[in-house]
Amino acid sequence: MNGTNMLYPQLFDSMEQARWSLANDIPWDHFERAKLSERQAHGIKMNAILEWSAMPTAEMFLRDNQHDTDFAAFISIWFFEEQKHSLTLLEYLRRFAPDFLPTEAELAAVRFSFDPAPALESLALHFCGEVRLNQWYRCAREYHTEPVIRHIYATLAADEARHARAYYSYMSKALSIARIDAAQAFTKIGVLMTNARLNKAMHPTNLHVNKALYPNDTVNARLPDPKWLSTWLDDEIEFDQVWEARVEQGILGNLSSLFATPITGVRDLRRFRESMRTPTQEFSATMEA
Amino acid sequence: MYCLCSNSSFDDILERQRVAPLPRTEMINRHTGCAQGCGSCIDALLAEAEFLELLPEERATCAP
Repeated sequence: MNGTNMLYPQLFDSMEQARWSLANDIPWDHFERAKLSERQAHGIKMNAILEWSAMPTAEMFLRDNQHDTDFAAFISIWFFEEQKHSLTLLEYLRRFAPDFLPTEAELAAVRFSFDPAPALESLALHFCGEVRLNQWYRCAREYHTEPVIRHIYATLAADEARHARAYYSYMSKALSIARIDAAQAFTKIGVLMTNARLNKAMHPTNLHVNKALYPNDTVNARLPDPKWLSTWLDDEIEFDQVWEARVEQGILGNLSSLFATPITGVRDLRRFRESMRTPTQEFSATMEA
Repeated sequence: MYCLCSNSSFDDILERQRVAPLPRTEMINRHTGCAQGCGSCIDALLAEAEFLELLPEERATCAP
């Protein structure tokens, strides 16, 4: 790409090489009806609607990143793939549990305007969200016994990890352009998204994003079953402390790499964040690296 | 770097490779979760392993 440091061309290439076909790469003919319960079909419906909420998120990203044509271009890929996730889950329901297919109105309910937000914080927030979703889907794969949905969740988990890596690339680029601002935004979100006391299901779909619509301004609140997520995590797929630790390590391990400083626990991240407020030798050395 | 699909840092993966060196494909299959995961880290991991001379076939090729 002539004279630019755009990430979009190489991300387009790598993601195109990794892309799977909804029609040909999902083993639809391996379905085993006896291994799918109504409650599980309900969970698949809710996940299909959650994935549909990529739509207002993409709209937010495009609106809040008018200064960043490279990132905005990447969002075209991300949006396509997230909508494809929703379509894959919808196709599963259409074939095997049509009573659970969401209505168009139920899908439309999660498309609402998000308040403008700092672009770097949104970037870090969605990096953390992809890390978490990767583990949720890996856990969901283990929970299900029905072969087709197991394959789908494994496929979606891999896509979410790829998205996290792409967001990481943009975080790394942002650090090279606006080091202090980016570091402050990323550590702020890192602390928020690894603090289980604040919110057990720390995912963008659980955050309030429109003051005028409060309290009906989270994606989860606009699901047909707003209490579904916590039940799914706690009582169905059993997303326990072992899984939670993997999310935390995924976030902290990548932030550690990003800042080129050891961050093995939330305490380390808080300490690093504190060092930015009153620059110490440690922070200055890291930022100059 | 930290590989999400392996739940491991690159350092940890490369340490496993140092302790139990394997050829490229086997290294990815045995020491990482990349083969069942997203694949984003494979090229970077192999490049680091090569740079650190942790790939047995590379060492054999370079031997005098």
